[in-house]
Amino acid sequence: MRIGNLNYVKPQSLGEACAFLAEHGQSATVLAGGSDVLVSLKQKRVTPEIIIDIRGLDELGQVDFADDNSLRIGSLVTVDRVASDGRIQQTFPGLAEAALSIGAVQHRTMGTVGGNICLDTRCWFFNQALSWRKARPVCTKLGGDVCHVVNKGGGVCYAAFSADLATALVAMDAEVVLCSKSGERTVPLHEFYTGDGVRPNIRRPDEIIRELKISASPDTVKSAYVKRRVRDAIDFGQAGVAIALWLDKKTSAIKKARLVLSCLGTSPLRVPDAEAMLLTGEITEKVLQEIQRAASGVAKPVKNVYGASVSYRKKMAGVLAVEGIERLLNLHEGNRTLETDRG
Amino acid sequence: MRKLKQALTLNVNKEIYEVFVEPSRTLLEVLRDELSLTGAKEGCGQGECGSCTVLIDGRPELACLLLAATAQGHEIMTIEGLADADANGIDPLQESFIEKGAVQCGFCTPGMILSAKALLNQNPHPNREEIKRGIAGNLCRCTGYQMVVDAVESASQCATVKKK
Repeated sequence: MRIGNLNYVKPQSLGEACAFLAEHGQSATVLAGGSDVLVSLKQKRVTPEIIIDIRGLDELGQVDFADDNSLRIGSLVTVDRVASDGRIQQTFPGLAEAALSIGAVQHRTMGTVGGNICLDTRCWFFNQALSWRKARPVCTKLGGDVCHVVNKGGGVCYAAFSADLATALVAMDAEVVLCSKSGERTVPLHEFYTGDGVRPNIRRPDEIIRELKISASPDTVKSAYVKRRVRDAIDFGQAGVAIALWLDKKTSAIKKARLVLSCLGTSPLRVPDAEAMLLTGEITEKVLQEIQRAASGVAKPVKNVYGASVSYRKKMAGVLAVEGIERLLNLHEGNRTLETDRG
Repeated sequence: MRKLKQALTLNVNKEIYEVFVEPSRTLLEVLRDELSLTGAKEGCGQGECGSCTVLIDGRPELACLLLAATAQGHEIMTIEGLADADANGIDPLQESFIEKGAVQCGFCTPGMILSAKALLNQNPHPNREEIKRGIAGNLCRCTGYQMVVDAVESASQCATVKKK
C-alpha cells in the first residue's frame, strides 16, 4: 500500500505546529505516533495534502505529578510510558492497565496519549482500503448517506469508539487542553466526545491536544480497566470498562464513582445508574447484580466489530463492570459482604 | 515544476545514509528498496503482524507505520545490524533461535528477534509469561511459538548477553 504524494513538515515547537495548522488545518493531518494515522493514509480513508509531524516535541512529552497527586500528561507521552511509569501505576492503576491493554509492545512504544484521545471510530466497512470500499457506495462516515453495517443506518454512523486510555481518562474525570494559534481551551474529557460516529470529538482542524489533566483529590482514588478481546494483544476490544472510585480517607465510604464503557457505542459511555449504586454503602450481591444490569443496559454495540456477537458484547459490559468492582474493592470469596453464594 | 522528492538522512545500523525519496515513503519501503536491507518484511502493511519490527533508539517500532522522514535523527537498528555488533559475529539470540528450531520459514524472524532483543535489554531474565508478552506483537504462522519462547529463554540464560 503506497501512500500518495503529500508534503511533510516537522515543526520545531508547539507554537510552530499551531501556526502550520492555522494555515493548513483543513488539508493537513497531524502525525504523532502514527499507529493509526499511517493506516488511514495507506487505506486512503484520509488524503491530506500535508503531514504535520509533531513527534519528538519535548514540551508535549512530560508527565507532571504535583505533590497533591494531581497529574498533567502531555499529549505526546507514549502509551508505553503510561503503562510502565511507577507513579502512574501506583496512583492511577486504571490508566496503566488501560495503556497496557493497547495493541502490543510496538503499538505502545509508538502510540501517544493524544493519539488515543483522538482515535477515530472504527467499523469493519470503514477500516478497509479504498480499493475494497469502492465496491459499495460511499458510507455515511466518509460523506455518503448509507451505512453498510446497520441496515436502517442511513444518515447516522454507528462506528465504534474503542480508545482504551481515553475511556480510562474519562473515568478519572480528566480534562483535555487543546491549543491553537488563537489560544487554549480546557474541556472536560467526557464533553470532548460527541457520540457521532462521523465526527467523534470536538477538536477543530486547527487545534492540537496539549495535555490531559487529572485534578487533585483529598480522597483515596482507586481505578481499574477491564477489557475483553479475542486475543491478548494487537486486537481492539469487544467490550471494555473503566472504573474509578473516590473513597473517604477516614471511613472508606465511596464518595464518588465513575463507570465508563468502551467499544460499546460511538463514544465512551458513562453508566450513571451503576455509579449511583456504588454510593449506596454496602456493595452486596444484589447491588452487583443491579450494576451488571445497568452496564449492559447502557451498552449499545452494533455488529461492526469482529469476533463476537452483539448480545455477547452487551452481556460482557455487565460482567466486566462487576469484575472490575470486585477487584477494586477486594470482594472475593472470603471478603465478600454476601449472605449467599453467587453460584 | 513540482518537486516530489526530498533528501533524508538516516542513521541505520550505525551508518549514515542519504536518500532522495518522496516524503510519503515509509521507513520499511526505504530500508528495503533504497538501502537493500531486506531483513524487515512487509507482512500486512498495517501494523498487525510485527514482521516489519525494527529498533528505533532501542525501542521496537513498526517500520511500515513510520514515515522514513520521521525516523531521521534517531538510531535505527535492523536485523542486519544485530549480527556484526558482537565480537562473535552473531548475537546470542540469533544463535539460540537457530539452536532451538525457532526459525522455520524465517519470515517473522527478523522482527521476532528484534522484539526479543528489546525485551532482554529491558528485562534480562524474563519468565515465560513475560517473554510471551514481549513478543505478542509478532505473529508466526510456522512454529506455534513454543520454540521461539524457548529460544528467548535460552538466550536470557546465556551469560554473554550484552545490552545493545
